[in-house]
Amino acid sequence: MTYSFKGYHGTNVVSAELIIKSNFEKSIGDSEWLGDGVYFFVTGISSKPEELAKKWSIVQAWDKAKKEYKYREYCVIKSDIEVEEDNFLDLTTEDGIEVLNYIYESLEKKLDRLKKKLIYIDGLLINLARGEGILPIDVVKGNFYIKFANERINKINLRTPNCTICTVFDTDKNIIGSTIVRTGDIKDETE
Amino acid sequence: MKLNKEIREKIDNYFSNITSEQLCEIAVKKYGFTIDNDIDIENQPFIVISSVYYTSKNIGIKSDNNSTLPFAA
Repeated sequence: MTYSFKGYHGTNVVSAELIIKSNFEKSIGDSEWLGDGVYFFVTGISSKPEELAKKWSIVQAWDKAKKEYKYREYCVIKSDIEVEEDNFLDLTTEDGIEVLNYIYESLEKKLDRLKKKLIYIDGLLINLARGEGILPIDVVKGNFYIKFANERINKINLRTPNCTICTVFDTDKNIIGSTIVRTGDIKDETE
Repeated sequence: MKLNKEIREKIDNYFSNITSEQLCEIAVKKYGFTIDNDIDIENQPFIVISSVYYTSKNIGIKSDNNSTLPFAA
């Protein structure tokens, strides 16, 4: 079975044009929620992923140290994502969570013999499972609480997820097409 | 993706063909996991290094009528 859905990626106009011409740049690192890949907002617990992508691009524009915006024009790219069921880890479902938990439990059990404990992070477990060829994970989806401008300014720290995001590891394989669907001036959204 | 027999076998197969030492090294060096160095004190034995004994003579609160400090509940 093939899953098809639309993903929305918030960025700035310059990067968006480069993405459309060439390709997306992966987010890599241990702080990535769902592992390495390109991140998108998708329909899930929020029905407005395009709006969330716009808010995210505005948050990303803010340079906290310099107290100014790094770019003035935000941009939202819409991408058509396709993935086979066997390559799709959906952490918004019990089935997906069971897979991730089984990987974590197996890893913990194995390291228990060394009397060592790791700090387990979802994204790193996913990277290990993919990188070591344990499972062919191409696309991962999950629900998260993301702090946008309002949450950051007003120091709102809820635990209840407010959006569904997904990460695509190999964009050449799983992104069928991308278009710019929205651009605008950050100033108009913040003042 | 579901935790069916095939997926379970793939995961089991990987973990049964790697040593704990190799796995730890890969997890830390290649994927950036960090080792949790917090010492779990639960269920750990304690060593008594010194003891101070109090007798009934030590117990008591000096109180006089001039004191305005309320006692805690």
